[in-house]
Amino acid sequence: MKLFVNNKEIEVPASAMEKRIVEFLREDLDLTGAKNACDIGACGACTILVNDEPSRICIKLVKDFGGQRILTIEGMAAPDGTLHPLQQAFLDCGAIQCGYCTPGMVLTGHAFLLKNSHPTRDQIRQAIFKNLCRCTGYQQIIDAIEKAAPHYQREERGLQAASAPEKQTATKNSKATTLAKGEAG
Amino acid sequence: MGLLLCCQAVELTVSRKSGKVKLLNAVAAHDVGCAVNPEMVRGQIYGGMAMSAGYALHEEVKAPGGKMTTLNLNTYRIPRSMDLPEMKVIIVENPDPVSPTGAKSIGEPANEILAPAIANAIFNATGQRHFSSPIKLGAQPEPTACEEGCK
Ligand code: FES
Ligand code: FES
Repeated sequence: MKLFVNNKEIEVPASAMEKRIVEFLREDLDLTGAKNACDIGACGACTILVNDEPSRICIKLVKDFGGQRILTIEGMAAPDGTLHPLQQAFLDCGAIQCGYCTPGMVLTGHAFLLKNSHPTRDQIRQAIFKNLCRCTGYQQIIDAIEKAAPHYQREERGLQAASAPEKQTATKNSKATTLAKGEAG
Repeated sequence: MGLLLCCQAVELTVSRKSGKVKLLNAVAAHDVGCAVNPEMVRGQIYGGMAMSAGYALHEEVKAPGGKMTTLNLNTYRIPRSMDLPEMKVIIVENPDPVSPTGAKSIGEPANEILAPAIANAIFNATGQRHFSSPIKLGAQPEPTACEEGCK
């Protein structure tokens, strides 16, 4: 079975199939961004994106993810280490205290902004409703997601312009359709 | 040692039907001496307010017969983003003469005082005093003629 983790194709050994995916990512792939906090799907610290949708992986098995496109927090920054604008916004707004909830918050915020790049503060509040944070009171997390929204608006405009002439890569294409859907909804 | 002064205020509504408390607005002013990293100071205060709101309204460890039954985040209810209002922080810098940078503490003071502010606001709304937390309110009695008339 294959997994696509942060744009890399990963061959899963048969022995790992029954493992929980949070353990597989953290122990076998050394991607320790997703945290295993509550272990029962209640807090959101283990959130990753599966095909651009947030997913809590502490209660799921590796075999449920065959062929899926997975994004963990390690895949957000550019290959040269430049932070993604949303990560930068978290830093700038001081949206991090202990940092335990942060990977899940960033990814949940990312998935949300891909769908809605012109959010109101109330919509952001609603979007991160299921992710628990003990330290920040959520205020600066909401500030950060709000601050990063213009980046997603620019990207959306860029993609719309790019999709006019029909020459673009498959990945860009699929992203453009997700964006277009988000805008319609 | 310099004095550590702080003040928090909250605005809320209590539902007559269910007794549910909704926070509408919260403001905190803290004398931190010197805000070494202002964004982090703000974060500490927002976080403290959120914890304190949790203490006041829903955080509770249950241990019937001495056996703890609140073991994880599904039973220990901490505040979620939707439980909290937009919060405002006012940083006051009044340096502590005996501290090397002038800074005073902020972690603990921030999470002590929203709970009493909430208890006071509930008193203001319902006329009931609560001395233990979390505060549990049931359905509220219908207003008496005088209460209505005096408004
Ligand atoms: S660790 Fe998965 S939701 Fe808490
Ligand atoms: S920063 Fe500590 S849990 Fe969110």
